[in-house]
Amino acid sequence: MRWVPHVIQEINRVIDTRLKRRLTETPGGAAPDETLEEDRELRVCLQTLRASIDAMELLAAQVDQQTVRYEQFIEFVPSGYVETDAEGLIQRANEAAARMLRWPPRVLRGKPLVAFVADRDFAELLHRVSSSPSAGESESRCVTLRCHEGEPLRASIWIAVSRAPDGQFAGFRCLMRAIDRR
Amino acid sequence: MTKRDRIDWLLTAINAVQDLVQPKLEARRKDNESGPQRERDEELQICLEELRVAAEELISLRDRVAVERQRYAELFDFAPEPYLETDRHGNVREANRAAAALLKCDPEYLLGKPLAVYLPEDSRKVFRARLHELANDDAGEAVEFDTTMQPREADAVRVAVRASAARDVNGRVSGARWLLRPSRARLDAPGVSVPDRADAAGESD
Repeated sequence: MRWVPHVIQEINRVIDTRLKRRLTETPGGAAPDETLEEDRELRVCLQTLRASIDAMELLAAQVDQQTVRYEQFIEFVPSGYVETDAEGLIQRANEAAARMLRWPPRVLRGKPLVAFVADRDFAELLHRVSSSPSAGESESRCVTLRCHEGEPLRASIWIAVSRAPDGQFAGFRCLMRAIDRR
Repeated sequence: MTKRDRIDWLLTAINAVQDLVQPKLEARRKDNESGPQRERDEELQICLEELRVAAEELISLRDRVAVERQRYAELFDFAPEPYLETDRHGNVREANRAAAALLKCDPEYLLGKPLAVYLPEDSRKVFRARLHELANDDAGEAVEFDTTMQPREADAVRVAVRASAARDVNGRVSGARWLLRPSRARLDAPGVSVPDRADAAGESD
């Protein structure tokens, strides 16, 4: 379920209606103690539910904010940026990377990163970086990129590991800059 | 209380409500209640189920926030070039390790400081004009200019600046992003020490 504002508002409206109904249905002094107790239970449940829905709204907004921040940053970076999954398949490439490799970003998605690097030992380099136990470990070197149509491109590439919140290896992040040999 | 603490507190509260109400509900069910009381308990049961779903969703959203935050932080913090984010007034909101190294201080020390204090007096006017442009930027284009940065207790450094407006989810300008590329680094590969300058000369982004 997507916690968009109108869904959250609708759920809150339903909770409000139910809470109001409970309040008006609770007869002052006429109800047995058991009934009052059950009404209290329901009210507590509904109020907790309401607090949960409010918290979900805040968290959903934070997810959106973080996503926007990330998207903006990778397009701000002037270098080509490529992100892969743990198998080395490209999950994300910015416009600069697409220009360097001369493929649209959507075409790059799902392709193995090694397919775009001519250096035979590149897979070995990826393996070495992914085996590093320390967070933030990275390596840089010069490689030859295989481009769609046209000459191969010499580029410097910076490779770092990305990890899941539990510390598990989740993929690679690469920044690439062309080196113009003149 | 941090946002994460608040969510943990709420999850604890949900568990407590469930632990308190569910046994009473089951006890009443065994008593074969009927009429309005049964109807009320059914509503209570539905509410408990909704709370269970809400708790799962809260955990899922909390984890997604953590994943998104980490994805950004891994790229930003460890990027080989100096990146900063400022608010609309030019106060540093975030600085990565490379930026801190360039300005000769810890990233945490930079937080909240006006970025302009790391520029010599005579460069600040141009910097503020650029910041003003970015704050009123509708096109979303990055601006580029050269300036001088003045690190703490170190020599001034010429840098090529690339900056663009940082926007919130609604597209409103909330600040600015800055890449401060030392002029020497314009010739070098990112994060690569290139002893033979001729080999790397003329990089083009």
